[in-house]
Amino acid sequence: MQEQALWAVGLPGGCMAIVLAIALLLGPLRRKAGIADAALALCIPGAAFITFLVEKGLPSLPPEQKWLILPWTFLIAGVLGLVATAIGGRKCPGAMAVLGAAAVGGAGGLWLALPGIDTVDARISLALELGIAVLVLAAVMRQGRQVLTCMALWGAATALSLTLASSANITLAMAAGAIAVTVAVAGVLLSIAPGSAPKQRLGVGAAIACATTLMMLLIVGRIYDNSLDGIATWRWLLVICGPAVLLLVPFATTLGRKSIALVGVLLPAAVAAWPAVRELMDMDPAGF
Amino acid sequence: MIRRTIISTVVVACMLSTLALGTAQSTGAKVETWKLDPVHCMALFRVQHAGAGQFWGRFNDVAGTIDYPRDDASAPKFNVVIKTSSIDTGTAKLDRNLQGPDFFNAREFDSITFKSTAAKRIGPKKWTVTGDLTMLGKTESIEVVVETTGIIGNPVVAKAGWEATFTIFRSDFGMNWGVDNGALGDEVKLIVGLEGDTGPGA
Repeated sequence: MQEQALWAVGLPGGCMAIVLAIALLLGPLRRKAGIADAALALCIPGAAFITFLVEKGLPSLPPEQKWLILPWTFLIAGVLGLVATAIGGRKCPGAMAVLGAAAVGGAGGLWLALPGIDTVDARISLALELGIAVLVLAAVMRQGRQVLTCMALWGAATALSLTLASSANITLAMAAGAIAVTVAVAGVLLSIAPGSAPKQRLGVGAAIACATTLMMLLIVGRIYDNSLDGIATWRWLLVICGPAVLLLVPFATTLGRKSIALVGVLLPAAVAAWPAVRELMDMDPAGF
Repeated sequence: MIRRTIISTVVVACMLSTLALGTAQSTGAKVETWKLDPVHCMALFRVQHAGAGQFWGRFNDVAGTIDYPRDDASAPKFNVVIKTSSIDTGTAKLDRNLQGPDFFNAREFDSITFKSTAAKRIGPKKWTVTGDLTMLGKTESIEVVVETTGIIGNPVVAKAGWEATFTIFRSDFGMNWGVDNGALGDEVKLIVGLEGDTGPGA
């Protein structure tokens, strides 16, 4: 199991770390406008895609099982992120809104195609979670000093990975873990990259790609939740609340307390992940 | 004249005996439908864990029908359905893992089915049955060695039992988690024990 995790989390994370290091640290590339955003937009869904390559092989179209639509959606998320980066979010907010809606709508369409969503309750949950997804996207796009945003996304991806693991979704957990590694590396590289302004925002394309990828994993993970008692809804929701807290960051920084902002973006993830950590520590050694 | 009469008698006797044999065969070969009794049916599977021990588990919910004559004159025809959610390894959390999308994906595929398509006798009450095994939405033709283990009852109500042994490669059906790095073996041995009832109550 440890070796499996090393391959499925470490390999994608390592590959994407190399790509990010080239994009963010090499002078000629670094100086090109938008290259960092493009790299992030590509690497975050790319990490999840490579996890699926390692675990499930090349994806087929149409997928043999419904949940195996995921690697394709990661590719779409990457393309959406690249297009958003190329267009430039600040210049064309309308286009960004359309792209964001397309990404979230895609997640909704994916959900409608998956099993177990033919009840009213399931559709209400769909509406609720899609609303939160929009909020997350908006929060990440509107806010996002890039290093702090990376920390929030790292917390969300880590909490999601642990929650997915306790919901018996091994491949999904590893994909979220690979995203966590990639985002962590991105945060470190962005903080040490020469010329990186502390208040620089995370690019819209990277934000769209990351939020979409995380939402896809969360939605599919929730549908295929196979834990004994089922993961409580609040845990799924809290997983993605960290990035949403970014909306409150201006107030915290106005108060002159950056540490409040840091705790604020990581606390929801920690609370969401704690039950999963306890469950995994208690798990019988017979588990795969 | 006498010779002619003898020859005619022999020919008629031969024809009658052939006819009688044919009638006996068609009567003895009456195929009955045996309804599987889920309480006394199970499917055991064995797979190697982490390149080390052989790990056993079972499916508890096995249902379906078998068409088979009591005198073994023709091969049993299987139509077996196994509920994926009935997997039982003795560890509840592991059962849930195995029901998850990485393995049996019970949310999308609630059953594994086997339908026989052909058979070849390899001994008394022993057959190699070829059939379509459908798992995770993929159908593969497999060969199963089946032995009729016993039949008991009367002409109206009876019970019969079969045991099938075969091996599959789970990656053939798209279940490839842990195959490449040996975390979980690809080759899965299965032993399926079946018991069916025939008669008015079945």
